[in-house]
Amino acid sequence: MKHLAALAFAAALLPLGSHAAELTLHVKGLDTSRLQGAALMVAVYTEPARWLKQPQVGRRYNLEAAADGSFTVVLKDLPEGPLALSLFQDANANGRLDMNMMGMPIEPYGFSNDAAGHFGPPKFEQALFQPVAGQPLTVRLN
Amino acid sequence: MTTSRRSLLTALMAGGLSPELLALGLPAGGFASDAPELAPLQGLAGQDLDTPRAALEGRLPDSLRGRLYRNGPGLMARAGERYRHWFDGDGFLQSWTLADGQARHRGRFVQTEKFQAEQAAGRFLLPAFGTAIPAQRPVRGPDSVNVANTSVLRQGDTLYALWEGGSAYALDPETLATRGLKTWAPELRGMPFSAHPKVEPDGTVWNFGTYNGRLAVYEIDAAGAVRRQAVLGVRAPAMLHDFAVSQRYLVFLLAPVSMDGAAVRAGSAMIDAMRWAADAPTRVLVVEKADFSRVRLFELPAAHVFHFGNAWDDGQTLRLDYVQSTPLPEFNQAAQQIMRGERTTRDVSTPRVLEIDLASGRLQLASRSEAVEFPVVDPRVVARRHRFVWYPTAIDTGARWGFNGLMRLDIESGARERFSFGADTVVEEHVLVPRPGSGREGEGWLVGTGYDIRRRLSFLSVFDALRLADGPVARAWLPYWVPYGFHGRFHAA
Repeated sequence: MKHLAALAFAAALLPLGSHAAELTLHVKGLDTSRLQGAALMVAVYTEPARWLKQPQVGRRYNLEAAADGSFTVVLKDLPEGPLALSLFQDANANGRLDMNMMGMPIEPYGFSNDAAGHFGPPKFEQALFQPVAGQPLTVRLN
Repeated sequence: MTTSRRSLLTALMAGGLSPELLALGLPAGGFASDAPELAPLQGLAGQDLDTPRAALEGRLPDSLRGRLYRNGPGLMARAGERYRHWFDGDGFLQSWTLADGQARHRGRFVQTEKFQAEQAAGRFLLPAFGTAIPAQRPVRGPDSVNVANTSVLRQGDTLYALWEGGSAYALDPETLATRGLKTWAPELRGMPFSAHPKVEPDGTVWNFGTYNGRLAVYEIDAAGAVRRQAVLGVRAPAMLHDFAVSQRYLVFLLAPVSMDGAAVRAGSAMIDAMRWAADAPTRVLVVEKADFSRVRLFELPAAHVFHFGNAWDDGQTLRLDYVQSTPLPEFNQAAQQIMRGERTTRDVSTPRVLEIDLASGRLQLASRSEAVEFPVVDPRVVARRHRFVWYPTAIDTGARWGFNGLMRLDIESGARERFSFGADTVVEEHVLVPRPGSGREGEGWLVGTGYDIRRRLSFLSVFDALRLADGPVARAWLPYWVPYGFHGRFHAA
């Protein structure tokens, strides 16, 4: 109970913090055949050492209304400064980016800057961008 | 005179090439050939082809009704940039519909994600198997670069365009319109589905796929439902094209080809990053159909094999036939030469019959010397004891590239029957179509395609499969040429 209260207190404080930022995120390229019960998972990173391991911020959004394959959300309470985002369409809402038997991701995913690796994920630096107030970020999943 | 017309004339006078010239469908950069038999490798520009009534020579048998589907690399260049390897070309699906004594031809490019993006951009945007084109779109897996160009499979009202490294593409079997990537089961999304599934007479489909050293096998029923799937605990080579199926076993020849990961990461094309270990064995992998976890491995000297005819076993002895190719580096060199319009040194892929004594592990290999490829058997004997294999073959072709004849080999007696079209014809794969109502192996027609070098036209030819030497019973001529393809299947009406 004590922990929950502390958490609620911290959450209430965050929007007031002078270092909070917000970002409008446009997501394109969703697989419209797999929207039923699907969620968009967004992870935000600020440190290369934690890239694709421990996000600073993790968010989950219901995707059922995204019938045209695109989805827009305002990400609030983000850390200030340059960010790198990784996103995926959690088609079966199991909280994981699913892989097939060969270890290939089988749910649509993408990164800020539409960064792409060569037979693997992109580097942190490729996905790093500086948010500008009023400028939305568009990410294409595939 | 407009600017574009002026620059076209300038380019023509200079003997050079420009985007305008390419837009006119003239030979693309890097292909200037003295070898007229290689002309179809120039490829098409992405257009549809249709011939409602092909010109007939001879008479199409009344009971030969249905559709020959063929697939192959059809587009070889964009904006002056040309693929370096024959396997790179974007999939061009063709159907030859035979009914009421007439032949209708239709050709459509498979609308892969890659093809659609590049067609819209007017240039290549993605790496090809044998050409290191820098990626201008994310490459998330094999399907990002899938060209669906190797073979076909028909199940129910779906036609599949097959590649080697990625998913099958589903198409409308009548219009050849692309429906999209095929997912056999949710957990199989994105899995490689090879271009050489084996279809047993009861409709059971066996297939495999490899990725990053892993080898998956699939059993699919005639309705398209996956019965079983598994990733085997055996390291797969960097290239695995085909396999054979007997009553009890799946048989693979695992050639000593590895992938140089550092070369791939450095931007090398896949084919240039493959390493051939001439001193290492080709492993013979025998997998029990009833239990994929039960596997046995045998060894042969290094050999590179693309295609199998068939296999059969009696529980003690496993017998299979295949065509042994040149070692991979030499093969790739040749597949790059012909893309530049250059003739290659003699084609030396030749027939083999391998017998495995499963109790003792003793292997017995019989070799023949005819230049052949694209073996086919009667669809009624797949995974059963068989006697005949049909191949395109080269008979006295001299320095010229390609096959010019057909051969039927009796693998029991060693007897062969051949037919040659002569110097001016290139013969492609011919498949066996059983005659309705017949039961004996080989009773039916051999149906396939070819190219007449002098007339610069492509054709379909029909033979009595047990009387090849009599020559074709009919040929249907297109008013144009089409690029050389790889494999096809006949779907009886």
